[in-house]
Amino acid sequence: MKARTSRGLRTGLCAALVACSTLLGCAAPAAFSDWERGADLSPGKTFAVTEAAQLPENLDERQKALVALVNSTIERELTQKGYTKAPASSAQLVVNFYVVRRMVEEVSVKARECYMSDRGELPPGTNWDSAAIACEESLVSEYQEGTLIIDIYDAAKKELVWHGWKSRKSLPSDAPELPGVVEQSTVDILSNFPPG
Amino acid sequence: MFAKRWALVFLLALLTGCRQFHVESQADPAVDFANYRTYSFSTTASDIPEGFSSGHLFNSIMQRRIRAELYQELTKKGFSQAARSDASFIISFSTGSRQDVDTVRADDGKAEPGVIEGSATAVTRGALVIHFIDAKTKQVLWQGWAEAVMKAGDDLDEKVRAAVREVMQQFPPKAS
Repeated sequence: MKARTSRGLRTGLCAALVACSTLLGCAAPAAFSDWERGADLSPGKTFAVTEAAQLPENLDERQKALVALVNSTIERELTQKGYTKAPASSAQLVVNFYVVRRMVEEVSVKARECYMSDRGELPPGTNWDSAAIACEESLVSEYQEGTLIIDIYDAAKKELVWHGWKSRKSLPSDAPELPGVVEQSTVDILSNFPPG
Repeated sequence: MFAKRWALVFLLALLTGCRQFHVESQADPAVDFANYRTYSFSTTASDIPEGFSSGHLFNSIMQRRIRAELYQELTKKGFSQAARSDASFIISFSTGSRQDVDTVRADDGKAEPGVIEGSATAVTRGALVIHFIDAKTKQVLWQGWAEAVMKAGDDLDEKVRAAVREVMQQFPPKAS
């Protein structure tokens, strides 16, 4: 039994190491971006923040305040990075944002009573590794995810050249922490701009 | 020996965790692809496979990237881009994603809804679909697709270009 426990522990530790290594190998920040490789997005350019066509019309007062907050945060962040605010008619970069929502599945794995106690003694020769799998169960639940998306266009070419986004569980529209979350998400997305 | 075995598992986990495509293609067996040498890009996106949905990542940056990679691959194979009126086939494409719950044990149907025996993980799969369509008859001549697990922070440029290259390895189809 001791030998089996020791082997199980060793196997478990190695499996955990492999899992961690995989995560580290593919680790990534919380906000992401995609951009036109080769596009000149260097600081010094002028920018204007405009309203995205994807934003709904008829926003309520709370939503209008959030839009103003995101727009002012974009202006502040880009200015800090060396870009200069200009009228939309003459700006080199045009920036806007919108939000999309979708339902996503979440899986949480938890330990449970091992099947060995449910089914009695396992027969000789049982693969202990596969028997141990049954000592876990996974709960699948759904939640609504909101994604804040910031798009930056090359005004001369009229082309999308940078696309940044951050996703998280949606908050109720009256959640007191919503403005703070939205502002921080805007900062996080623009932390990836300019790329490289 | 033990360490070597786990080093191999570690390496495989890194490789399969970060880059792997499942690629397939299908061709109209009655078509002689030697008759198709010029192409043009469609302005409308392909239908994506059932279960996948096209999201904000299928934007104009992504579309230009896929067009550029297709152009490179087709040029290498001797095909030429032409005006719509002169093209013998039209190319349409799309990308989409789907969320799956991957399990390590087969579902025996005994667990309650929403509960899976054993460990499970939620994964996002991305798909690239490419259709080659006869310019005159509008019939699909060939279609290819690639599927891969998407990780947060994937370099989309690198991953999607690699997916296009892998799909295009199957075109033109080898005569049976």
